[in-house]
Amino acid sequence: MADENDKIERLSDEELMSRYKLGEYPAFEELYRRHSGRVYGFILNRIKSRERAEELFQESFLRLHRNRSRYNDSLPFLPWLFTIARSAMIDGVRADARSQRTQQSFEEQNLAELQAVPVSIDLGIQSLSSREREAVELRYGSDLDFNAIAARLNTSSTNVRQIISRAVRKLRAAFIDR
Amino acid sequence: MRPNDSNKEWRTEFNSFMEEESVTPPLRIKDLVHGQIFRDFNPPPWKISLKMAAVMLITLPLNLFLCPQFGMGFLEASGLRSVLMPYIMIFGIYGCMALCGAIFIGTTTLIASFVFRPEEVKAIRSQRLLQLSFLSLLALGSFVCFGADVFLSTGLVWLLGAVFGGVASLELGWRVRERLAFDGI
Repeated sequence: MADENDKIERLSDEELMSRYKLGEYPAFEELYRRHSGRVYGFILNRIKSRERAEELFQESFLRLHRNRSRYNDSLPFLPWLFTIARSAMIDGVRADARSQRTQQSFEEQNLAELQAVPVSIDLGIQSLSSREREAVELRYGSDLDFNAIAARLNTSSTNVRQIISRAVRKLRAAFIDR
Repeated sequence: MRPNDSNKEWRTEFNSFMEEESVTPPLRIKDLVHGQIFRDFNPPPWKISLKMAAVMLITLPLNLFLCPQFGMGFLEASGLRSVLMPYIMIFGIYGCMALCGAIFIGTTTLIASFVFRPEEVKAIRSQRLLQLSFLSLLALGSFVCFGADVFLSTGLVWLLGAVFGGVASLELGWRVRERLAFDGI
């Protein structure tokens, strides 16, 4: 076992990749041991949120795993690893930007709909539970963000999104009925 | 952006990647990544058995096409049976049965050794006797269902031939694949 470990440690990255492609788990472990720090440092220095950096780091190594059979052993390993980490990071940043835009347009649409019917808003508000009412008032009345509302309502921001989304649906239904 | 700019940008970023200070990722993330890859490299045996059975279903018509026993083979149709049978029977009935088992299961494992993911082939190799005995019994069982005359002694010889033939072709296929991988073909 110790001999096997010594042997693996002496192999080049490219030789390790050949073994990794043939399903040898220790080869992956060695590649991870050698390069995970560099990949993590690279991502961490470019992504503000540590949590997001961890996700993208994880995604980089999973992409390496999924694409291992495409690796050409005659080419150096590090540029290939870098390309994978870089594209995982770029895709992640793009996905974040997309989801932010979607969220923003969803909120703008909700706000526009609420502002379009100011007279009947009191009637619609009556159909909401006290928690939903409070969340809607904090969001559209006090203009607080989801995290601040979550802190006020003592719940998670995901839950706040759901509460507000449900409330908006109820209001919309109430206006349509009228 | 011109392609040269993009290449230049890639090179600059790659250089900074190479000079990057190493930061140890959290243990939790390491466990997540390793766990996922370990699971992928150790597929459950039942999944592999199912895949092997599927490959066997594909090779079944091919083998029956050559086999004279079920009267649907190429040998029967072309009239070659009567010509070839005396030569085949040189091995005797037991030799014939062992050869039949070896060809039948051997074809399946040879195809599997090339088509399956490397980790699946490794898993088959690590439990070859169990996997191939199961596959051979399954094949023999289906022959009985198709109405073949299987007796205890000939059936046992067929099983032995199947397991040995299966192991041999699995090893042959794997060695060739390994060689191709290391030669970068």
